[in-house]
Amino acid sequence: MTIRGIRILPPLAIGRLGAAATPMDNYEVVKDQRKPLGYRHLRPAETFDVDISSGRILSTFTPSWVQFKDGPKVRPIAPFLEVWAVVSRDRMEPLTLDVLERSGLTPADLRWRVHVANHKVFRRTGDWHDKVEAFAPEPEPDLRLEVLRGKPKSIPRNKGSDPTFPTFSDHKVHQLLGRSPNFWAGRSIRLGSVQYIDPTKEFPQIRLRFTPAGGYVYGSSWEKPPPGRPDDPNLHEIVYRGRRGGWLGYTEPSSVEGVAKLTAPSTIYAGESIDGNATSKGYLDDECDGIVYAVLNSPSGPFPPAYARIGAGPPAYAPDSFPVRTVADELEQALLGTSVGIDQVSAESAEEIIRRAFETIRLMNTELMNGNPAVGGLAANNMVVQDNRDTGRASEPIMDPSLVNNSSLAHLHEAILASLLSGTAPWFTGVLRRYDQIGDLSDRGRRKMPAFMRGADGRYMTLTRRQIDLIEKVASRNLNGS
Amino acid sequence: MRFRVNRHLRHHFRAERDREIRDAPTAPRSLSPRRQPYPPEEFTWRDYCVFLLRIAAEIEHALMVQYLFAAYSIDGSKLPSRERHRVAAWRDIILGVAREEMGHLITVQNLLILLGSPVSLDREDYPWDSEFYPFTFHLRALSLESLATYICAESPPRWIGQVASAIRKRANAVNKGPANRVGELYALIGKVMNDPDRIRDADLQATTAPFQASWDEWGRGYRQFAQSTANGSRPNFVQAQMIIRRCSSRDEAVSALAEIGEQGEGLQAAASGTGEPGGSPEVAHFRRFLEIYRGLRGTSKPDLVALKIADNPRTEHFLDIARPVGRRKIHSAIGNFQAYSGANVITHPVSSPLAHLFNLRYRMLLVNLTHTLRTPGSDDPNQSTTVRGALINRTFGEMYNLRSIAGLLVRLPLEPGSRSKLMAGPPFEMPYGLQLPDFERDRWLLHRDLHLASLIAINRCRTALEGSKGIEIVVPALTYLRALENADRIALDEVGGGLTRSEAQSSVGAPA
Repeated sequence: MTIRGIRILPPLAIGRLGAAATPMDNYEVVKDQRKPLGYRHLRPAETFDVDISSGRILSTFTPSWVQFKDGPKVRPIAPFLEVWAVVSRDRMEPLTLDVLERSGLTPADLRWRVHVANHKVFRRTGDWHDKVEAFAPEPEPDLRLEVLRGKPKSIPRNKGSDPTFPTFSDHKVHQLLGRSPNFWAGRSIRLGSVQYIDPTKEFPQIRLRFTPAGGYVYGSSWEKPPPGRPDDPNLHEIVYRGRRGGWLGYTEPSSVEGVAKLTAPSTIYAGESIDGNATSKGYLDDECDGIVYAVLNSPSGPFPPAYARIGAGPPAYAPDSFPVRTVADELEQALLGTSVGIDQVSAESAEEIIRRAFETIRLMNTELMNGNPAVGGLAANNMVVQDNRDTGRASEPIMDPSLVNNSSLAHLHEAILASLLSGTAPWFTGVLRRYDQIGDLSDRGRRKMPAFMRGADGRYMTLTRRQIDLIEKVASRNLNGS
Repeated sequence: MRFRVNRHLRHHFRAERDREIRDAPTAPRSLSPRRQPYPPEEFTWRDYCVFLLRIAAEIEHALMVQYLFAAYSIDGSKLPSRERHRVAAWRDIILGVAREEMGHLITVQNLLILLGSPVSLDREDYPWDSEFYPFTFHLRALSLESLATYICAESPPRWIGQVASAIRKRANAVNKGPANRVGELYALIGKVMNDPDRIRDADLQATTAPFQASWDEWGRGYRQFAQSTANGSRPNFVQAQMIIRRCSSRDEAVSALAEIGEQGEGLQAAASGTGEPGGSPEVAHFRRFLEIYRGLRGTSKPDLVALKIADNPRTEHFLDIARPVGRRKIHSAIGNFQAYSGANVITHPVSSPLAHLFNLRYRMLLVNLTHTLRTPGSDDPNQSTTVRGALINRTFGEMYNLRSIAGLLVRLPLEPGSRSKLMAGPPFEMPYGLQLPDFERDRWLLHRDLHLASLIAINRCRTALEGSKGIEIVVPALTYLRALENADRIALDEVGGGLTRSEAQSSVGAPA
């Protein structure tokens, strides 16, 4: 077997923040066969026991139960990235000690470099000095500056072996320290860490583990911060130099050019109202995303580098439920298109979408999001208020207020879900919101499904075109499900 | 009960002819200081209007059920692929019409409430007919025959020509008598309602509006009915347009009646010159059915459009009916009963308990709907009246359950063994009564009993399914039953909440 190239799988791994020392154990989310309308079950799954000091997997175990916290601290979700060897045009195999050995290589021939960033402040201020970037290993300062400036000419692309970027093949923990030119000297945000797992006979596969950060909030100050914990109880540490950058005290621009660059919706940062302007408190967080490169040297030269994307998001506080529209749905649509192949159309896949809608409702304060006056819905942060602010639409509840009691809505969706489980084809495609109806603020338009929620465009959420196509195709089969 | 209605109906048309003002005896002066049209025997005009609205409600209910049955029967999986989409569209059109009939039914309930009458969701089990009813109530799979009866029922008054004659002939043959127009009834109700000498302003109780159903509550994101416009566009008429009007005045009531007539027959669209009689297809039921009729005639294999479902499937053979279309004596251990020869009893050991479960959920739907219309909404924007909302959502939930169980029944055999190739189908048998208890607590006790009865019925179905052989739908049926059981147990907890609330009301001496 000849190695013809390498790949990193999965090509995208999203970790979750957490400050506990031990990452989260594995678990599977399964449907309860005895209670089809009940909560999904979390079933403990086989988990690697990693010795941080040696970087080796010592054993595997299946925990007795799923535990999300160690004391008050959330356990981070720390994904593994596996290197696979391309052995033919249509076949890959896990890259293992054995495979390396047969090619005359050792684990040290596999080298890594990792580059992650948090551009949240840069997204608003537009100042490249506000980029927070972390590398493992750390490059020369000049190269780091070039990366921050975004000068593509001198940044080696797809050249992981380029000597200008250092790589590592040891098995130590490499901290991803996010630095920024606008930070106080010596201050950084820890964006997580990576560790090349030392392969052993028992666990011979080549892997890298990404452990996200603790989920802390960092702050800004006008003056040099004194040592110790900041006075603001929200803050873990003060890192940002207020007088150098524009983030502390930042307000959204009002110029035509500035407004065009606003996020939708705008002003969604921690701030306070000063002279009627939402003024930034200068908060930053330790989420990040970036790229992991792997390069395998060989006697005839390095293989083209493989890369994967990593990211870190907040913990899952409702792990037994899934949102009705997820990043996975977006990616699937981007990758496979807006139309579902007939061989992929199944009642189960449509049922899954409705189950997720049902689970989403279970987590919502539906009366508040509907704008029910009795619960302060006309002054809440919901679509009713958003419609009024953005377009001047009359501020009134979306549905009839009497219909949106949460348990009552859940009951209704249970009936829909149960019906789909019987093999009945979906009958509700007429009330699904289409992608070109997200700004329909008529009574009927606002009552389309999914209800109450804001999509990425700042207007009403819709299912992806691919999701709708799937439901329509299931619906267009005969009524009786055959 | 039918005889009680029929004795008034029998002389209706003759009496209506004779009831012209100039021929009528002078009305009692207490009715009005002016000279009055004379009301039918034993009635005042208000009471007569209530009587007619109750008939209208029964007709809408019956039409809705028959249209649903026809839609559930549509399959098309054995047709060439190029024809399947068209057949699927017919199914959606008929379901849309059934949905609109539900809108009519609810609007008629609103009119009853406006006149101070109890709501009326009753209908006679089949088979029976009368001069006023469009055709003999008969659950039939979709066919040219069933479509012909629907077309005649929804047809405009001056529908003539070769096509009309042929369809009428077919409808009359299957109906064993002429199929009447629904529009006649609405025209009469509109006439009575629009006449202040017959229905006085004081008869219309505007304060009942909070009890009436609204489009906001029942529209579900479907289109609100709008009169047809001749703008050249042809919207997708598959999607239902719901007419659900809250009425607090004579004008609103008459307008609602006109809209129902328009949706059935498309009279205004025809009159406005936008099309041939029957109006534009996106509006009139008549036109939609006619299009399907033509499409079905043009289908390569019309027999494969619908599943082979038994006509009038029932859980029992014994009937207590007013005017059986056919009858024969049935001798049983408990006496002699009249039996309807057109009914097909579901005797298959799996289909039978599922048919009972279907009937039970049908009853739950009707109880929820009745309870909703007896529970006021709130006019106060700062109050969220969730009991009424919960009842509405429960009603919709039962519609989905009926759809699911019907979907199973049309794939289950009518009888055991291979004697018959017929499938069972949903029986839509009416419960023994629809009277809602007077007190709120007792209403929730009824809900509780129905959920408990459902759990028992589910258990029977499950036992039958688990012991069955050669049934293709065992897996989805068992999965559904588990989900339904799950939902019933959750609902029982909710009903417990309703009982607690009503007990709190009772403790302060506030019966509903």
